[in-house]
Amino acid sequence: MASWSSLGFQDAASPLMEQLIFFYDYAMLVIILIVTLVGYMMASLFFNKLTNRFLMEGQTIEMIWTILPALILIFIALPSLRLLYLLDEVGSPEITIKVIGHQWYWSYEYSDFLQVSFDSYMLPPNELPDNGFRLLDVDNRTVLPVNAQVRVLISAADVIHSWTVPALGVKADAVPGRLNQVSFAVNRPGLFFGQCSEICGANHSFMPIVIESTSTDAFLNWISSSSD
Amino acid sequence: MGKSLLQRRVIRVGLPFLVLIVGGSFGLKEFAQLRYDFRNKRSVTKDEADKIGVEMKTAKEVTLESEYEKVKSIDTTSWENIRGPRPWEEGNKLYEQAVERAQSLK
Repeated sequence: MASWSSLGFQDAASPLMEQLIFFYDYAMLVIILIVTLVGYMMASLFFNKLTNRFLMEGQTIEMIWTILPALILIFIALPSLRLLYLLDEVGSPEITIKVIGHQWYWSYEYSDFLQVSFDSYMLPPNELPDNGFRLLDVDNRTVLPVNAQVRVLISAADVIHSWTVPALGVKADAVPGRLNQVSFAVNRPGLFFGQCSEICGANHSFMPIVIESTSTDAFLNWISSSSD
Repeated sequence: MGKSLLQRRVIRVGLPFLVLIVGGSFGLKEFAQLRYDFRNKRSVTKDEADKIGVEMKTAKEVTLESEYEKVKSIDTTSWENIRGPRPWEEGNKLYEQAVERAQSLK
C-alpha cells in the first residue's frame, strides 16, 4: 500500500494494473536509453577537438536522425494502443456495485443483491485504533470477492467527485447525472485504499475508499449478514 | 527420381515432422485449454449464493441501463456549499457528527 516517501507504483492487485506497470517499465526503459544516448553525445562534445568550419550538409545523418526517432515512437505507440484498448474491454461482469459520491462520503450499493447498501465515512483520527491508517480507514469497507470480474458504476449526488483505487488501476469521475463504468478483477486478497480525486469542497481530502477483497464464501457470508 | 516414395527424404523426414507438428498442436490443446477454463470460471454465481442462502439477481436484471434509470432519480440540486474550520479545529459540526457516528459504532 502507499506509505510516505514511496516513489513508484503500489504493488498491482489486478491484471490491468499489472499491464499498466509493465508498459510503464518498458516506456521508462526506452526513455532512459534515449536520455543516455543524448547525454553521452553532449558530454563527448566537451572532449572533442575536431572542427570543420566548412560543413554544409549531411544527408545520411539527417535521414538517420529522422527515421530513428520515428521508429522509436512506433515501438512505444504499439504497446500503448494495445493497453488502451485492453482497458476499455468489458468482460462479462460477475457482480456489479454502484458507487455514489456525496459531500463527503461514498455510498455503495450491491446491485445484484437485495438491500445491501451502506455509507462509507472516513474514521476521524482520534477515533482510530492504534493500528489504523490515518485519513485512509473507513467505518464500512467495500468487500469484494477475489478473482471475480467486478463492474463498478459510479455517479454523484451533489458535486463532481472521483473514485479511485491505485492498486487496482482504476479511476473514474463521479459526475452528478451521469453513470460511469469501470471493470476490474482483484487477483489477491487484502485491503486496497484510495482517496477522492476531484476537488469537491472542504472535506475533499477526507473521503477515502477502502476495498477489502476476500474469498467468495467470506464475501457471500458478509452479504448475507449485511442484508439483514 | 528413381527412388520409391518411401525412400525419398522429403517423405522420410518431412512426414514425421508434419505429423509431430500438427498432432502436437492437438496434444498441446489439452494443456493450453487450462488457461481458458480458468479465465471463464465464475466464482460468484446464483448457485453459490443460493448455497449460502443469499438471493442474487440475474445478469439480465442488472444492466448499465437499468442502473442508470435508478441514478436519474437522485436529487443533485439540493446541496449546500459548506465552508468552515478544518476537522480538528473548534466549531466543526461535521467533525463532531463524525466522532459521534464512530462512537456509536463501538
